Amino acid sequence: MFIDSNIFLEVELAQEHGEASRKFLKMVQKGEVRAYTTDFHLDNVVTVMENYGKSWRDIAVFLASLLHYRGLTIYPLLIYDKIKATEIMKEEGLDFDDSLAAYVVKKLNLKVVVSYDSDFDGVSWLERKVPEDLVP
Amino acid sequence: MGSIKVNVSDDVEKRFRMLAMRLFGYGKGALSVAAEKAFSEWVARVSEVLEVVGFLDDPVDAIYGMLSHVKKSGVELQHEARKIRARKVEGECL
Repeated sequence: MFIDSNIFLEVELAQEHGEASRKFLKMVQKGEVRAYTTDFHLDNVVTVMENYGKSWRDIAVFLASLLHYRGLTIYPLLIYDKIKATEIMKEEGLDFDDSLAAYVVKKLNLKVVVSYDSDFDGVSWLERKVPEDLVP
Repeated sequence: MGSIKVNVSDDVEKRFRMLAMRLFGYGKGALSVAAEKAFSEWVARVSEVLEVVGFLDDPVDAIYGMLSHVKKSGVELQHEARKIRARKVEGECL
């Protein structure tokens, strides 16, 4: 499965979806679930953190925390991937961020994107799940 | 010389064996040479990074609530990131 930026953001927000997202990420961290994200989607989180005044140390802690995840693979996006993702923008009407996620789902044959973003719901070849669907 | 026994997925094992042998020959020791290089690179990269923040007791709890002062949803913030990037690009163009 693919983890979208908003799942990490929900953990940082610690609001309505914070607890479910936290439990889900712990499953990935322990290796109970195998998941992928991209450097681009992690950069989204950093961009938001910086915009809301978080320090270099908080950003470093977020990034370093990812090294501890047994079940997480960070897919490094290349320019070729980004160009291919624009085909999904055209075919599915998604924005660029979501198209990159959908592209990786397709390329790696993951089938599921974990996200609170309902924009994925119109894409017939992937299934969107939220952490509440996945945690016991 | 130390010895480490590890378990990896079938796919990684297959590709690792194939590449190690193609690079370092089909004789004895090719897998060890490739593994030593892989381990050394991982150790060097992780050691360097850990000098910045050290070890985290719980990597998920370490980030929990970092943005609790922000009263928006994760999806709203993710969409905001796109606008922030666009603003930065605009600023660079001016």
